[in-house]
Amino acid sequence: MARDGLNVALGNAFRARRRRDESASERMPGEVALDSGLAGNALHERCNGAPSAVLLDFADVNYADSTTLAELLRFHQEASAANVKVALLVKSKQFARVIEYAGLGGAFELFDRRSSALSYLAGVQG
Amino acid sequence: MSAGSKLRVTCTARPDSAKRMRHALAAFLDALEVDSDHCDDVLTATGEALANAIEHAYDGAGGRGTVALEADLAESGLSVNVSDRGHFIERDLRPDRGFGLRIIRSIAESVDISTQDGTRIHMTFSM
Repeated sequence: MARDGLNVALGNAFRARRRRDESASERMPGEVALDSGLAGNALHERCNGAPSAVLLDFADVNYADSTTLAELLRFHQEASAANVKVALLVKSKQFARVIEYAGLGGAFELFDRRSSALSYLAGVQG
Repeated sequence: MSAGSKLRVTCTARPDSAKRMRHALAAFLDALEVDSDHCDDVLTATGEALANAIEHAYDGAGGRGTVALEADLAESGLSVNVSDRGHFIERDLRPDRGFGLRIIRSIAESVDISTQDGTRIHMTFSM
């Protein structure tokens, strides 16, 4: 589905078994930057089902900028305050490096494989 | 790579202009056969400068001003200028939005910011 120029879809791995108080997965394709609408609370609007863990799937994102990082950090801080665990799936070298350049390497649980991210979240829930 | 190559792009300051200008720079770097890691880094730093100019330089009056991108390849490396006629906002002063300049300074070999008669961010990159 498209919203404010940002395509957001539920990830397949969680789609069939997602329910309230379980887990949520949000998938962002393409470029996520100033004009993407991510700064417009898209993440918050999409993760409002009170999940206990969230996978932010950026596997298809090939460019991200500091506006994305700022929004991710804000989301992560709010999720942590609500005891919601967050995992980031990032495959693009550009995205991984921009996180490091911003000094946020230790701020997120970062994974380059979806299975690893899901295992982490499953462990958290278990 | 061909020293002396130049890129000049000027766009109206709108949110989608940053993407179009980044893509123009990507095509320029691709034509110069810059390797992908260097290319990503230059695009990331330049993208931050463009976003800063477009998001803040016109105090919400986006669409009225212009943002200019200049890239010049010399024997010593790549020089990139992003300039506008608006008011610079030091994003590092914002606790939740301070990553742009930090990213630029992590990537570029040198960064010079001039705020006279608009804002000009001059970055150099080794190639």
